[in-house]
Amino acid sequence: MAYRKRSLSRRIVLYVCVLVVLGFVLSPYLLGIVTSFEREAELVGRPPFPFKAISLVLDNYMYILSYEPFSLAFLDSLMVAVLTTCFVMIAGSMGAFAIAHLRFRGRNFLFNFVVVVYMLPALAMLIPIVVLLKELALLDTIVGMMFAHSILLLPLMTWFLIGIYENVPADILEALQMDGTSRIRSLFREVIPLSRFGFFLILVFSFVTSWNDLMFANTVGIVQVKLLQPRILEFMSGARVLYTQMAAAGILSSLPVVALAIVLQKQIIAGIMKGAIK
Amino acid sequence: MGTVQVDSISKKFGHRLAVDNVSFDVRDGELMCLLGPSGAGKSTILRIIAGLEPPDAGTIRIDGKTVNDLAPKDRDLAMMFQSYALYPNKTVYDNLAFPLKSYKVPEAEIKKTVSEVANTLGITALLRRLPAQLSGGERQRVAMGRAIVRKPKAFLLDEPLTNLDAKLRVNMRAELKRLQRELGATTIFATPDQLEALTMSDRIAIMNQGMILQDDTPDGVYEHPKDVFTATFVGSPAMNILDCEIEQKNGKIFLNTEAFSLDVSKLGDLIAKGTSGSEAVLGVRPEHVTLTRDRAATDSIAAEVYVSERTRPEQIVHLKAGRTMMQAIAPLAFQCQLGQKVWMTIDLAKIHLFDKRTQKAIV
Repeated sequence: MAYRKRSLSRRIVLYVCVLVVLGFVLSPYLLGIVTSFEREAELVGRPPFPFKAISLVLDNYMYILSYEPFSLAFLDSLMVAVLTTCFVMIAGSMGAFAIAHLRFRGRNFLFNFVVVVYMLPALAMLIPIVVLLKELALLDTIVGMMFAHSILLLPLMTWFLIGIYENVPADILEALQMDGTSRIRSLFREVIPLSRFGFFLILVFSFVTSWNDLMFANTVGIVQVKLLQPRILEFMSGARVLYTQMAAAGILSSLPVVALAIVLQKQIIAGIMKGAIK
Repeated sequence: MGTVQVDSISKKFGHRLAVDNVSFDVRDGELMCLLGPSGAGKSTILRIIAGLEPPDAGTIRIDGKTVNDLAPKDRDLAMMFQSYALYPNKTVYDNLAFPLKSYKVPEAEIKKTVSEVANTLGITALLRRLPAQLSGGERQRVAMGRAIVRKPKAFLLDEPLTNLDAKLRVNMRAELKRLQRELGATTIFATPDQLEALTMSDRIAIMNQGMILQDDTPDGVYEHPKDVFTATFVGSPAMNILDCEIEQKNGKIFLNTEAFSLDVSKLGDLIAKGTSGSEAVLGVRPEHVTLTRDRAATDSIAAEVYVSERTRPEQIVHLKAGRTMMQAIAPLAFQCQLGQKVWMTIDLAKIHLFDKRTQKAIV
């Protein structure tokens, strides 16, 4: 990559702009971090700015990490998010590939159907999904939760993936066909690697949506499966709100997403550097 | 290598008839060219032969065996795409090896074959590169290599030279022809470029609007075009086309155009009887018009130089006779200024005459 030399004044302006935007976006998160290191008593009646902790204690983290319902919910959430992401990426990829590159009767209908289903508000699907899962004896199970999240995510992700896979030239797929490559192999060995930039973006989007979900987590999961977000919310449900512990739990729950975002960043850069997509 | 027979193929896209009852045979080792403007149905025919597109009607036979129901990979054909369709995330070596790997050829043999092919095409030095790091001509060679590496029964080339710049195109034209002869490869190739078709093919099928108008040798297509479309599409500069009327008078036969009248009595037996008074289309190739400063013969026609293009080694002179525009090829030494009066003499033995209504050849 070529860096142009910028004049000092231009650089200063650029960095100030970046800082302003970053400050705006990150301030709630920073406040959360600060709060997570505070003692409960010191928090009361204290203005949020500047972001400076009066005390710096790990009590909140110690408490959360030793609080078993939290770690169980963390693992359950992770399981659901990973399963959902896998299911959405595989099923979504196959559907998107078919609509983008195969010609069959009803293709346009299917495409429109995907878009219409996406436009339905999630709330409208909530009750039917709960009823369905109950009939299938999947209510309050990890698999049931995965299906609920997948139903929510699949239409939108398929729609995105259609746009991404359409960028792979039809000629290349026909060349693969001539060379005796099956369609499923073409998809997984050629189309997805060629579209990895978009693919990973969709993957992270799916993971984050599932991880952050509260609505389905609160209705599909009841006793057996308690996901992370409703568990964190419980800190608010008693007689008093446990702000500092809730902040620590929130920061901990953001770690997988942050980690994934860092991995994604590397993937995007690698994709651009290899120049695979012209 | 093998033969390819296309028998009464038709294909509709929506309401548009892309291929209209097309039949032709390609013999073993022959280079057959589908020549026509874009949208004529050339690519569709190649794709139908390859199996990428099912025909609505008709049969495809390879080595005498009907392959309509076979998947593309089971037809043992190789196709080269106009865009080359190289796999962008594979190196040149892997691009060449890929068709063999798909067919489960042992690794050692793949290595041997790929290096042979790379040698033939002069791309050995490029084997470790990615397609994005190649020039247009290099990509074209790799695409060619990927087609020949499997030694298929026939090659289908879809406008293989169109994406190259002009100079490279001429080089690759010759190389492709040489390679095709060396391999003795049965080849069907689609192009909109009449010069490519004339120089490379054993046989040309002229296509327009989904139909084959003429299936002939390059000489046949050039010397004896069967209709006005073929006559004007093949040859550069294009054949002069003039509306005329056939008149029989005093035992003589005349072709009357807006600008001049030609006595074609000598060719009388060639023009069918009873055509007197009928409308016709006269075709004269520019190289069959001789220009002189003075009247060279009794049937020379007076004209005015409209403009001259000195293309070298000759010049194309645009002429105006009455309201009719014509083109003639003249040696560079023939000096002519704009507006200058010259005489043109048409080689009567070389004229073409078409029926105005059917556009089919009369002579």
